[in-house]
Amino acid sequence: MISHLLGLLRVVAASFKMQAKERATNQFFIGTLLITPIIFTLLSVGSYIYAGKTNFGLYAVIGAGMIGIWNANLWTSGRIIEGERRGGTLSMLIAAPTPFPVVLVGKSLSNAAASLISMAMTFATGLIVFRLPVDIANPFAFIVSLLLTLAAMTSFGLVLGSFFVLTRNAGAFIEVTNYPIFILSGLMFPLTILPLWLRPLSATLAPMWGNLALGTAAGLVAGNPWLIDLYLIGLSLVYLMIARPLFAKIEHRVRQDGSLEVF
Amino acid sequence: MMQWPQLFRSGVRASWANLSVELTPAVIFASRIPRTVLQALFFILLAYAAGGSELAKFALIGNMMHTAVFHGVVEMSFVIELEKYLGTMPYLIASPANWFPMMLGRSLTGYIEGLVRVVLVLIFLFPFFGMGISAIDLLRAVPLFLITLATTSALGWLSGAITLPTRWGALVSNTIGYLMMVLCGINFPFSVLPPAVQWMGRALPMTHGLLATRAVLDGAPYADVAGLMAIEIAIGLIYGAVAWILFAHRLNVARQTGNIEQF
Repeated sequence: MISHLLGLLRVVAASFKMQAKERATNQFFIGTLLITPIIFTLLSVGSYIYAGKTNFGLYAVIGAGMIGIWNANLWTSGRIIEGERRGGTLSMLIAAPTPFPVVLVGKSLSNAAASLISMAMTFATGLIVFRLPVDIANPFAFIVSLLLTLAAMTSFGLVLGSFFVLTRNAGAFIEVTNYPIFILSGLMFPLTILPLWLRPLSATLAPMWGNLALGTAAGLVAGNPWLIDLYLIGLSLVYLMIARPLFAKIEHRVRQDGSLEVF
Repeated sequence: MMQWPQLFRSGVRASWANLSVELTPAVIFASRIPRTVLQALFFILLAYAAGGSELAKFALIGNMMHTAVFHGVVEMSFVIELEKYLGTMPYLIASPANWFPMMLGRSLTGYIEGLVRVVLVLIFLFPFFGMGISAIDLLRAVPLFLITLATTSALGWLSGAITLPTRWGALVSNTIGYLMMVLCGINFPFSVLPPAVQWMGRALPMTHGLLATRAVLDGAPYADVAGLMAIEIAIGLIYGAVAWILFAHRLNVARQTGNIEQF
């Protein structure tokens, strides 16, 4: 049992390392980690400053960072599978005795860890370009919330990643998934401007709770960040419970149809 | 010169063939249309949250133009990238036919797709955020729109020419497209930006065209915006000329060194 677990951890570590090497030369990741967060910060903070709402600056910075994290995570799940498929290694990974989700977890965690860079980029942009005061009321709660947000988003990415096995157009569908998530999660504007009937949908999204947890820890929103963190943990577990059987079903289907390389 | 129309037609046929393979009904209805509308909606909602319905209207006009311009810039660059990745660039260089009309033809579908995107934003978002803009003024703005889209295509072509010997074309053209959102006054007037950044915005295509379009949509006669459009056209011609010279230079160097396939 222990040797089995150690073996799985070795796979996670190897996938983590492999993904880090691939990412270093991948222009999509460079764009989503280093460039897009800066541009989104300039646009969001610029809009609020122009309208005279300078107190929204930190909120916009955190939101832009969340967008960077989400981009890196969603691109991750889609692009990992697309990359393996194009490289001709997806069928081998699925046929291997090691469960493919374990490989996917290692690779996703690697990108999730790297996605923290995007949060750093947005804070640096806020500080350097707009000279925003970035006082975080509870730094420890902020860091814990950030890590739990990463875990929740990665779990959500695994749910979506299962579907990406089915299509060669993962990239195109990722692009569509981005903006509804940004809108429904209220990453750059308060959810109160959206119609009431959309709220239940927002409540199912990890980025919405992550953003709320970070905002609360930063002192921008009244409330207890630890309670929201508990919700994030619960949400991650729910995502994982959905992802596991879903992936098993999809894996069974592509094995049965022999359709993995037909695209 | 006699063969130019035929070369242009060949380019159009080739680009349409590429696009028709990519645009399956699933991609059109589940990816392209929602992506275009939702991206614009996200930025318009951001403006609405920051500055109310006036800033939302400002962002609607900006994003309507940007959706076409962004696609134009990326697509013009992508035309060159595609030749490289498909391995057809050496044939294009070695052929005695002039590459210019062929490349113009190959970019035509991108131009048309950009215009379709504008229509989509108009259909879906104009009824909600376009209060106070009359249909007559909207029609009067169409020629300015088309000219601005043409001038910004020159920037895309320049981006493609710069990145020709590299593998960073997609990243560079996407970055330029996003930077234009900040520098050209899409979501908020660029007067809020530092003077040096404003100067950069004024040196880019689209900035003056967008200012002229906004003025016409507010009811200004063409005579009032003639100066702005003259600057816009001049900037487009400069970018086009530099792109022409640089692209021809790149091709000559590639011929001399035989390294066109090394990137």
